[in-house]
Amino acid sequence: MAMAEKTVTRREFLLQVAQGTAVAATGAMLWLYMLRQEARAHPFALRPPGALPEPDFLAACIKCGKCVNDCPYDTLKLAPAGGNLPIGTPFFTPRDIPCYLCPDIPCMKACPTGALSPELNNINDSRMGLAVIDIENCLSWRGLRCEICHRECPLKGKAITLETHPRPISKHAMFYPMVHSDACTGCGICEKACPTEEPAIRVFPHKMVQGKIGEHYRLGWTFETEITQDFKPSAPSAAGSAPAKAPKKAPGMDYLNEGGL
Amino acid sequence: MNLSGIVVVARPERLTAVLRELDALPGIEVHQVDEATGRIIVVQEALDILEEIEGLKRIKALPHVVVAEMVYHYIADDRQVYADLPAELVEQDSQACAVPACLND
Amino acid sequence: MGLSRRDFLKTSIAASTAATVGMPLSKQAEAAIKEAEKGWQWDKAVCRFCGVGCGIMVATKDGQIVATKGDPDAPVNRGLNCIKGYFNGKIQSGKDRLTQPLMRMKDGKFDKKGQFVPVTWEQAFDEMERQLRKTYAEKGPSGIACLGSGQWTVQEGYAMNKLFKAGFRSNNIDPNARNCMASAVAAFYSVFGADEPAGNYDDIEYADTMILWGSNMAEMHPILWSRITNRRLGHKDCRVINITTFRNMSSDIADLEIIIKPNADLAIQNYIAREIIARDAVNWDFVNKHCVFATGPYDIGYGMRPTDKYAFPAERDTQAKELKVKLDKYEAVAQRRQEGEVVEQKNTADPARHWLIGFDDFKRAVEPYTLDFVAELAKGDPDESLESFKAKLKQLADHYIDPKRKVLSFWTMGFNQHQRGTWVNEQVYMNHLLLGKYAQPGNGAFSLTGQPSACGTAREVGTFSHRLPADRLIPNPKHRAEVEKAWHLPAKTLNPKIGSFYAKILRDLEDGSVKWVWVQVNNPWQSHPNNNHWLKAAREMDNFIVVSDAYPTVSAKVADLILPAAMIFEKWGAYGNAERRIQHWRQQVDPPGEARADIWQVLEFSKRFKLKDFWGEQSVPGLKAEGFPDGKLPSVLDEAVKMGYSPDASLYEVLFATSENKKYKWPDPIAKGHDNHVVRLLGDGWFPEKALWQEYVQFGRGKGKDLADFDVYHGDKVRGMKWPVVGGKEVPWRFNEQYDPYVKKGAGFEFYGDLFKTIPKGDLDKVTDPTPVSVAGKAKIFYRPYAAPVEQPDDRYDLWLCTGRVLEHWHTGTMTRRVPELHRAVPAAVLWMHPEDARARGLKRNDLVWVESRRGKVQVRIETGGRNKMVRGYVYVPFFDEGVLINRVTLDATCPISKESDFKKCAVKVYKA
Repeated sequence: MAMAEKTVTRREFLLQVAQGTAVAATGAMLWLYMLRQEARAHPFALRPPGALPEPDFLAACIKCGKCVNDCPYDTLKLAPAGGNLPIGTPFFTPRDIPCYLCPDIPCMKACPTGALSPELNNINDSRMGLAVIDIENCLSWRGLRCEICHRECPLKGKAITLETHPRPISKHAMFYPMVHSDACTGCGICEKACPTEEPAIRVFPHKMVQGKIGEHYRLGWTFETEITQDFKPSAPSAAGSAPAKAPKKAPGMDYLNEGGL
Repeated sequence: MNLSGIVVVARPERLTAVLRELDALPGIEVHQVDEATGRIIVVQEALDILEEIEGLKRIKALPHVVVAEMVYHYIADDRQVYADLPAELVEQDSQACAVPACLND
Repeated sequence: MGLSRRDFLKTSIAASTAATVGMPLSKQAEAAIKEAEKGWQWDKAVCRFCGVGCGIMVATKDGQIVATKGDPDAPVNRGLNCIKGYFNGKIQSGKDRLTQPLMRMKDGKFDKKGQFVPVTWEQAFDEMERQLRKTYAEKGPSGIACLGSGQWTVQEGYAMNKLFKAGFRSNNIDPNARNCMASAVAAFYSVFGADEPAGNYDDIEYADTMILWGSNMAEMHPILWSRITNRRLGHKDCRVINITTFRNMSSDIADLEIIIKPNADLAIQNYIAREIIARDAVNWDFVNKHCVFATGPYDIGYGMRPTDKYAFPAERDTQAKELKVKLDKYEAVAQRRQEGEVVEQKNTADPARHWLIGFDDFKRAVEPYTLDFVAELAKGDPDESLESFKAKLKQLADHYIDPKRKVLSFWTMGFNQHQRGTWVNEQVYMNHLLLGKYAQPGNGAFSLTGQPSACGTAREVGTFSHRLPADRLIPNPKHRAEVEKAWHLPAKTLNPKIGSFYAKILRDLEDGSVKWVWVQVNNPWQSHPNNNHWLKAAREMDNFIVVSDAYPTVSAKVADLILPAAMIFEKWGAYGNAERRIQHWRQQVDPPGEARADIWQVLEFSKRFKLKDFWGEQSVPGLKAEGFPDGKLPSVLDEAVKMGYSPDASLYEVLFATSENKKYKWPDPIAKGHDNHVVRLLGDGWFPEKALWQEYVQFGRGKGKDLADFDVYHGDKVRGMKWPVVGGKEVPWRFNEQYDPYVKKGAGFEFYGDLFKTIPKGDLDKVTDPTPVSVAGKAKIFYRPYAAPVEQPDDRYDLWLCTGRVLEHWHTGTMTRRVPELHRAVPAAVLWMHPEDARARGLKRNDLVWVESRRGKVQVRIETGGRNKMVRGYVYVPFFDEGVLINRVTLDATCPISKESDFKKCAVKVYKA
């Protein structure tokens, strides 16, 4: 018990120091700089599980540090002064300490303002970021039997799967890890575990890395090919089936009518 | 022995002069030059960290140098380093490492 | 530091710096790097880790390993590596590498209760010698022992084996390979009369169905698994079946996953045999020509001690079953007895004996193994329906039986580490032989090995307590005579009494009958089950334990003397992989500090003893053999003098540095500039690794175990060779006339191994005619019954525990946990558990829990997701982590025939810490 108390005291002390720094740093000289930092959206920050979208999160987070204090793995840190994150906000760096996905989500429970949304019931539904693979430097994509990210993934088989392909130059198959955004929590355990000198799999906020196929196109070989499902039927007009009136003007009309040929 | 990789940015029009000055500095080797932007990559060899920092200050103080920043830092952990240590230090060192603490827990 | 290395460093620093600011690499820098790599010396070598035996290339410069790569020319891996293989070049540079001998000392003297202090090699060997002499005087050859390894190089194992058996006249030498593939060996012996698989890895590219029995190849044999996957992808009709006790990574590729209860494999194989007969699918042509039927006793115990004298109070109930077993309802049916009947275990002393039976007996024996009976007994996942499970068993039988399918069975520790490991190995051959699907490309039963040289060293050299080189056995007088002749020993030098097997050596330490042990290349005090006993025995009994290792392991910690060992690329050596491929390598770099190769340790230590120290009369309690007075090894000194030896000659001169061996001189052009620190330290000009290799190869030639000469393996183009190497050619499929010159012309197939080939006749229960009958050239189809695991979950210990490895770590983590990247990837062992089992115990993922058995308990974090998906009632903990010494918890029951420990099943409870 004495040990536990001591730990808490030490952690609280560290937290106060961190907050103290924040207060001290809000001196006049730095004020403007800080404001500018705060105002900018921070696409790099990985936030704790359940964090609201970044602008809402920044608005709601009161920088109390309670989530950091309750994180059992010391994953969460408070952004220090002078960094490129809004000071005092919680974030984590997976290569140092990833989020170990506590089933009881203590950080979220500690949040007094809902910046970490209490609507997150299942930790596996959290979306802190998205893992992306540098396929040029990924050992598995080069043919080695690594796949550590796949095996270490707490949602192995859902968030990271393996695709197998024959290797043209020998009788050995290749095992390509693939990340699936519908299941990846962004916990970063893969980034921590990646054995390359610089991780070949990293977690980034979705906005930075996730592409999007244009709404106008559907992949022909997937189930959602029936056009009727894709295009929302236009709302029936109040006038029922009355024929639409011809517009008075249409694009290109002026050019077509200007004559002069 | 410490090796450091330093990026020096000089005013492009004064590049030749800066390169001449750099060449004259002790322990400095120019490795790459980008004439268009005035960026120069140099590698500095120094005995220890103090000397390394002194060397960087000397580069910064050169005329027409806009920026000089240490980007890469390497401390050689060669056996040679140990071989060069005074004998009494080496012995202490090996005494300290010889029995991993866990064995005598 | 060489000027060139400095220049290289500078160039790379400049390149890194330029890259940081986005400047392209200058032409000069590129050229300079190429130039720098030019100075690298690349040489072929072999991966340090598993039994697959991948080739790797090692680059050295200025006495350092600068890079490694998968060897593109190696047929095993074609340039690929798994993630352990990727880090081969880093295993030798852990921060806590041992570089000096360390001994427990107090007041300047050895003291069992003292603290470790660096000593010189001279001091270390002085104490080791003093202790050996003390124990030998008190207890004779049975008072000393060696715990060796399937990770010894061939020559190291050969040297230690010779020192113990010929020099010390003690057969108490046994490798950790005992705990890895002894069951496979016992079955190779009883079925074929010769060790090791008939086929090779190329079987994969011919097979239509590949069946894994208790083998998570996806993690444990990663590169071979990529070949299997490639076959599955490239051959439309190929199917993979994974038979396992929980969902592991191999299920990802499998077309059919069959989750079974522990030991149910015994019943399933009999079901398949029954189906083969019922569907009239026996390949009678093959069976009549090449096979006979056999069985043996059922009441053989579980390899535990027959006494509870040393048992902790809580483990007495399990131990008592060594003497008497109450049959459960399935065993009763399987053994044609009554449920609840108490069977005294009468055949624990000679469990391997067996006799011929007729096909009718065999058919009658497998008759009870109906689909209904076996499915009810075997279904492992409580959440699966019996109907679905039955359908799977039927499909499994279909695959085996389909005459159009070539079938390849693989297995590893699920079969081998099994209380009936020998039986279950014999059963897999039973079905392949009944169908005639053996020893042909794509049709085979392939025993995979765990260690890089379990085959090459432990098995082929015979570093077991009952073996001699090339399938010769200690109790066989003819075999001993052959070895004595080859080693130029007087007759009766070799001790005819089988020594203590691995587990027994540890038990001997506990009861004080062994008091001097030398451990090389393994870590028994982490890896052996029921470890609390052995940890206590090491520290609290009066004994002397020497551990040769590269790093401070748990075993080093409980030792009295630690000898710093050289690692793989710091010495010359050879390994033999699972497909009979022997691969040699040269020393690439010097060992650090005073670390030295195990072979040097053996040779140097042997210099301290004279023939007269051991070759006089020795008392060996319990020795009873033809031609030997009871309890005595005779003096062979007079005979030795007649042979021209002086009683004062050293073991080193007589066993190792013989005039014959000294003909292999150093330097040798085959070295191509590589050094040999062993030669340098011995200082007498011979080349021990080559000389001992050449001495060793004589044992297998003409016996179907032919190895090539040392220089052949070192040829630039050679990437290992599969024995037997006959007329310079490898034999890809043994026992098959098409490929194996040892098979008689016109025979088609011949199982020419000569062990256990004269046996009596009997029925299912007993010998009826003791006159031995020769079954030369034939393989035996065994009937073996289902037997329940000796310890099963009950009210107090309600979960099954299984242990094993993970891909990232090798065995006890001595090497891989020193590679920072691998350690970061998998820093600690976890306990995999079904989420509902966790919930029922009020536990959640990442909770710290106690896992406790009758024998001990450890703390570990639980994992309910990730790579292993447990079924309810079953937990798995890997054994690499010395922070989670799971072997404090496991049970030390063994297969009574092979004496291999069963790490795969015992009963535990799990509760919050």
